[in-house]
Amino acid sequence: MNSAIALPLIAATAPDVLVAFDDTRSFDAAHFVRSVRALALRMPSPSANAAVLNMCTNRYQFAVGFGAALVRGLPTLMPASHSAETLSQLRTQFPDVVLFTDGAEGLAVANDLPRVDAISLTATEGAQNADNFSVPMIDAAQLAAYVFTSGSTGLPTPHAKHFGALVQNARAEGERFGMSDAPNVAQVSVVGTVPPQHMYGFETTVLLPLMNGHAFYAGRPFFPLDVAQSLAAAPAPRMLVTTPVHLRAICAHPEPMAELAHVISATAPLDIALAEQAEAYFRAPLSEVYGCTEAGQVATRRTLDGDTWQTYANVQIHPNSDGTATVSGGHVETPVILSDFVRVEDSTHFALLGRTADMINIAGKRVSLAYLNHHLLMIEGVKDGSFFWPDHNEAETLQRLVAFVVAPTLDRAQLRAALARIVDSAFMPRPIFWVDQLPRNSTGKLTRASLQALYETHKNPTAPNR
Amino acid sequence: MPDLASPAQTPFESEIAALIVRSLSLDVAASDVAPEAPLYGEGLGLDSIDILELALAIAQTYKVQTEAGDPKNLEIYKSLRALAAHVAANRPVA
Repeated sequence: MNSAIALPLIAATAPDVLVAFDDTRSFDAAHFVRSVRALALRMPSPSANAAVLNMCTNRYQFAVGFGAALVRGLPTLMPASHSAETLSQLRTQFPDVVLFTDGAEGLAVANDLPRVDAISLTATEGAQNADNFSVPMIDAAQLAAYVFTSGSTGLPTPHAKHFGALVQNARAEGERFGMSDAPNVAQVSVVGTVPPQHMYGFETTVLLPLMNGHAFYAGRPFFPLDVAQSLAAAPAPRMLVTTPVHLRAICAHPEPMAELAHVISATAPLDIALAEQAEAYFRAPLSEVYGCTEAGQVATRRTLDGDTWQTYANVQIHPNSDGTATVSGGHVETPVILSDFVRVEDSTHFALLGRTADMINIAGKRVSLAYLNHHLLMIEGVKDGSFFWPDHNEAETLQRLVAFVVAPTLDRAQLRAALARIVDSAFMPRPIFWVDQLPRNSTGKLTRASLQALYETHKNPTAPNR
Repeated sequence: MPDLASPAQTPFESEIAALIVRSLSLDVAASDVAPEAPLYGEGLGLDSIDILELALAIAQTYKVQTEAGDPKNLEIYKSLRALAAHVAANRPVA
């Protein structure tokens, strides 16, 4: 990446371009730039150990915080979970981290971090009149964010995202969804049910609109009725950015919602029946986005068009001999091996054939079984144990992990409390089975088949065994 | 984890507790859900995805829609008792 290139913080070139809105207020580019510059003055000095942990619930506040960190020269941290254990590891890696929050989020687990408060959305910070509107320029090579994956040995692994790559990623997504030519295309209102701190939410509900001149809804509608109200507040054309879990709840909603131009889903595979139902409900095409924390999003497909995914501009995919594949090029800063088995059709098209065994994805949160097992075995009183992802054929309910433990001195409440300190709630096993021993083979290994058999013998009766 | 200090479940609370345990495949018996214990985070240990699943099950079973904001702060999902009271008060009559 050429370090001489500077890129505008946002694509909007006029002060009155809408950046974000909620049910009663709208925030234009002038407001955004003014807020970013005012907040940047309150951010700490840049140093190798300094970073911003942005835990804002409000999407506009999150975007202002991200922009202010960039203007100040600080990276934003995006940990995979906000558990106490993760945050304490984060502080070891970034001793001068500050917490940026707009409410109670983060205070329970990080209340002793130095804190920068969010801007007041009603007050006008640092007056700047529209005549001298100028968008801050950011070096393309500037470190913009660290996203994290759980390493197999316990410590979260940071992956650096540079500003130029994030912009390129957002522009590639804009191009794919016909949004790259604003203001020559109608401004799209992006409404997201996913948090901005998650890579998919960050890219599609924050960067996609910001870097292509579109607008986003500042709130995070959660229940179907909230989604209906948010869409009603959004000027057409509208795009809904969501997940299979939310789509299932939304499609069961008895009332129709505002017309959409596009539905986007990611974090887990969408089954065809739900895709059909969602397209019929919203009278709009539904596209899935595929990506991972390390590479960001790399491909899309319209679910009803078939199994083939098409990569973003300049992103290429190449098969590996073990059935996985590597993506590179475009915004992908260093080649990344995907954690799925893939059938590569050509360098820009592929089909997904299933996850590699060690990686688990629940509601968009990804973790390796090795990481979970490592932590399970560290708990005092656990003599042996293993998480397990059972074969699952009910598309109806969200699948959860289960765990087997040899822990004669621990009861359920004690073990759950110990696990809650170290694993994200999404990975909390349901249920935990107490066993006398695990079916380890002569080399001490556990096979999937033996754990599945153990699961079959324990899953019924349903009464908890401790 | 039965909490002996908590008052017992009413019949309707038992019905809601059974729905919670069934729809979320929870690791507890329905009769062990303490009426006043928090559903979210501590207590039953539900996360936001569970609350969404539960809202869907409540909507389908009792025709009661959940609305408004942050699922973590939602009064009606504070406890089994609060949820049962909300459903009882808002379900359509016949």
